[in-house]
Amino acid sequence: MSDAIAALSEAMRNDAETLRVIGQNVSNIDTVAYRREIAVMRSSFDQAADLARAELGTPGDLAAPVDFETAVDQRPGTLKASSEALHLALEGPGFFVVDTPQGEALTRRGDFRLDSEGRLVTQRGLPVLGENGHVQIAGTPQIAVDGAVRVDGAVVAQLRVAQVAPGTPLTSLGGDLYGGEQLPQGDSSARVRQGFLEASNVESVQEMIRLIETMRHFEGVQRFVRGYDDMMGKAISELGKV
Amino acid sequence: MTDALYVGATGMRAQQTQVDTIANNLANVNTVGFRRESVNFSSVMAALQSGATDPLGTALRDNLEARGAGALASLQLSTNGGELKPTQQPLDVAIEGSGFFEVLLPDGTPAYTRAGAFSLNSDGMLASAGGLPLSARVAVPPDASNLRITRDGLVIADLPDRRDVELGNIEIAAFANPAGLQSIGDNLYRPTESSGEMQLGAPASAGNGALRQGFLEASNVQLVDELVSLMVAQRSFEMNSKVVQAADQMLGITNSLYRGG
Repeated sequence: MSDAIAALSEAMRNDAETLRVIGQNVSNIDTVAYRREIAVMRSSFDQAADLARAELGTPGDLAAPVDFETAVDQRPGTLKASSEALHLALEGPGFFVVDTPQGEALTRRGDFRLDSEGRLVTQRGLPVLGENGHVQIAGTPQIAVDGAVRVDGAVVAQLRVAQVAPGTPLTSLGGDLYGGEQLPQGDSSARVRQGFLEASNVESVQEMIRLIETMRHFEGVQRFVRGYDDMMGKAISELGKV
Repeated sequence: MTDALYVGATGMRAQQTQVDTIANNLANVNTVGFRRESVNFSSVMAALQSGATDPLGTALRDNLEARGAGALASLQLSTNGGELKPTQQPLDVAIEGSGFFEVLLPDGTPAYTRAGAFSLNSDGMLASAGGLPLSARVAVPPDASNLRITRDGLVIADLPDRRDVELGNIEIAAFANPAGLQSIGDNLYRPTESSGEMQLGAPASAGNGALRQGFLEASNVQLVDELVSLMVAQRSFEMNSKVVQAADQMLGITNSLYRGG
């Protein structure tokens, strides 16, 4: 009986974790280039379908139940227009490259700004890298689809757009940054769109359905726990009767 | 369960900031030289100690360095210029391009503004709408007429005995990162660490905007954009509140597990 209780409490704990993941996705519905997390718990048709749509493994991989973990859905969000000249979005696969104290990092997040020295930086202040290092901008830049930055017609910098080989695992470095092995600079199929931002890929309908599912599952499991509680109560009070 | 509650709460708080910011932008849709603020969302991660186990010995996930902990909203000032509206008032000046006017606060410290609805203060100097004189200290004699302000900042007027007297030069203050300026109200901005050092220069040179006499710069608030953002913020707030309600429900169900019998 205690095994059953252990399994049920594990299920309830997983549901609580799933709710946190849903909450994380929903709270980041407006975060630029946010990638939603998928809670992976046990094989189920919905789970497999969700992962297949996100191109994260085939249904066969999920045959065995797994401990709770989360996978990141890397499908890009849609592009939404912005009025800021320094807001950029990448149309197609690829990443912007930023300079961190621990080396280069990749990001899809293009809502850049200037720092006190006029360098192009991320919202958190990390410099964006161009072909020749940090990008210095004085005035209103025009950024072409190939990443060339022009001020008053003259090219002042060339933004780097890095590619990773398809299927390369990306490590999340936190703060919307990723680490991954970059391919040597070649023809990038990604285009830089000035005046656009990549929206998060959170779909509200999907998250709401997950929410309902999780809550009903939790409710269902709790009824089993009550059932066992009743059983134990009866065992203690009646079986012990002399 | 409480994790989800707090994560949902951070989302609600972030959307609240969004609504507050939109409200401020809309309230200032007619303010001369107003610069809208926009809200920047970023995800918050709580770092996990990898290899840690909870008291029951269950190994915590170590395939993720951090756990999601919600979202955070921060404000960004927009530096897009507003439309120039002709007023035909000789003391109305707009900057066509980037840069700010420098005015002096009562305590002598400089503040910066785009609002060029000037008038003459009690000392006969060119001053902003709040009575703050331009740091260029341009004094206009009471008997002056035909006041002209050229594109590069030269202030000329006709006096009874002479024509085309130069009264002074209005300069433009430029910053490396104008979006980093701090708003102190009354259309005034103060420099901060992130805005960079202020550089005074002549208008219509070295990237500074030109002066346009007889024009005022409207606010750069776009009504349609703000209203659409407001609708989205409202629904996102609602969605985050559903997560909080669900977490509450979970807690309620958990509490009811023990029936004290």
